[in-house]
Amino acid sequence: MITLSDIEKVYQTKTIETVALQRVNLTVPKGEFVSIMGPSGCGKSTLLNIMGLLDVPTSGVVTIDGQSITSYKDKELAHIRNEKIGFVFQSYHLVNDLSVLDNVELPLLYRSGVSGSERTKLAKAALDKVGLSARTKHFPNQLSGGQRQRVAIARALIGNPAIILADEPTGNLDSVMGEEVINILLNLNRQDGATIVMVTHDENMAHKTERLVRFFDGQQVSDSKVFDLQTV
Amino acid sequence: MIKHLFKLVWNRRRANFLMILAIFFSFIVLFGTISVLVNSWRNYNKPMGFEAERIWYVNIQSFQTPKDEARTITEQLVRRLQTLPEIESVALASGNAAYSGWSSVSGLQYKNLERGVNSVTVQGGDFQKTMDLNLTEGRWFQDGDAQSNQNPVLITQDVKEFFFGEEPATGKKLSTGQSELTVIGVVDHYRTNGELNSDDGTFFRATSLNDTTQVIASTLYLRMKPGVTSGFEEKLLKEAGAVATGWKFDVKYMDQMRSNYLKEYLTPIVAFAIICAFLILNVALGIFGVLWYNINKRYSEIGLRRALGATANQIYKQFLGEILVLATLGLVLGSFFAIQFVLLDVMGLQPEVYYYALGISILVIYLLVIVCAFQPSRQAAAIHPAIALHEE
Repeated sequence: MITLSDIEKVYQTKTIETVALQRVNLTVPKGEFVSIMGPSGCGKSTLLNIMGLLDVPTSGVVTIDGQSITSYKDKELAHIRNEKIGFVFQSYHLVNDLSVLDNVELPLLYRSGVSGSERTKLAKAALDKVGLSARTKHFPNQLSGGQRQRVAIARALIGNPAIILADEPTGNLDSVMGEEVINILLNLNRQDGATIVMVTHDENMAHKTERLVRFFDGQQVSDSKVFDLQTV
Repeated sequence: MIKHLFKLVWNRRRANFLMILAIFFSFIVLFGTISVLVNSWRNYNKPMGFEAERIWYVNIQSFQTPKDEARTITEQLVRRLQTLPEIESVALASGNAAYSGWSSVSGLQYKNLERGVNSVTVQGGDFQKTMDLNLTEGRWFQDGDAQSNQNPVLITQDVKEFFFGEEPATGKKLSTGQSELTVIGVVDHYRTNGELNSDDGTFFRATSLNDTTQVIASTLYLRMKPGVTSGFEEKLLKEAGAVATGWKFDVKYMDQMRSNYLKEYLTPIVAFAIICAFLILNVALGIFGVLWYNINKRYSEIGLRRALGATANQIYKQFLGEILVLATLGLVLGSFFAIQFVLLDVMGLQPEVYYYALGISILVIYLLVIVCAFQPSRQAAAIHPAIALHEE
């Protein structure tokens, strides 16, 4: 479970102060699939970075599984990211010089006590889950956008994280491929109980999830169950 | 992680090829230069067996003087110089002294051992006293040795060890192939090739000025008393000219000969070292460039790795590790060629010189790589993951 309490994020330069997030309070319980929507520049990605411990809030408290990470050092934050959080990005962020299998293995490289053979076994299992077990030796530039995103999802899954943070995972894909990707995420949530927070611009995609949180100008403007929205 | 680094470097082999090549060439030039330096350093640290200071090296040119007359004049000349108060000791010998540029090598045999050894012919005066040679065994030449049919010789310690090991050399017989020589003593050191060159040892033989079958030695070695300056040269030439009218005397100071020799020897080494330094600078700039380029090009990869759980320190180690892998590939290739130097003895040096040079060169390249990679790798480690992930 992730809890954000009174989160504020202010970017400050010599001349300008930009408020990216204001008094955000958000709790994502275990096993929930939450969509975050809002116009560009409203603070969605900043929020996801703070939830993913890639950025620190100017004020407020981030709690993961009941532990406040406010005072954590770089090493401890990296450890939590590695053990508990999986990331899926709009532009996939695959390493072009590594094969599909090596890309998927990456998170386990930073986890102690996992042997090379175990890494390979887990990577193959993750690729199997996203339907790419036949592409292990391919390189990212030999894959379609949808396949690349599936590799990125396999990479997010391999470490068996409690939370998956997806930043516009279908943003670069056509509707068919986008559908494929969202279905994989939905399966992960429904079958494996993965907690997923997804930033999206796509209302259709957002309405497939359980809960929708809307942001505007750094403020949380609505938070509702998708079922409720659909019935209203 | 090491396997991962090798995989990354291998998959980027096209981009890394020039860097590996630059490291390879720098290593080869460095290895060659360090081989020469190590060899020179080892030679420099070996004792010469004498001090060049206060030794004057006088070359005699007797022109057309008939040989019998020349023998008499030379004998008188040595006697006359011995009487001069400024001179401590005089010797007449062959001119193949250190720094002279002359050499005279004879093959010596003992049982089935054979070795080329520098040969110094002593003909008059007191060579041991003049050059201040230290005996470790036996005795120096005495009157009558020059005429002895035993052909008495002294050898240096390294020659003794080569032929006789730990056994005493005195009384042992060596052969030149034509004549048998009897060892009467051992001198600890006497190097005739200068301190930076290797030396195969020396043997001394005595000949008599009266022996018409022998060539007259053409070099006088004078040990001056302390405090005697070059101002004495004029008096010396006057005294010598009074005995040997019409002869020419070329006076050189051995300490001056030594500094000229060092200058001559070191000039090409310094030139090579400068070339080497430029190559190394080139590699250093290359490493810097490659790393800066890599870091900028791989900005989003750095962010990704941080997101996946890499600490800043692990990012730092990764970039440092990648450049060390690159260096290792260049060094493996370079070492393959360097080992051929040893196997084929390309430079005619002792095998251990090559091994030292190999070790030092590898160390220098690794140190260079670490120093050059330090700042860019730190820069990579300091990249903020959230910002890096938004780079495309």
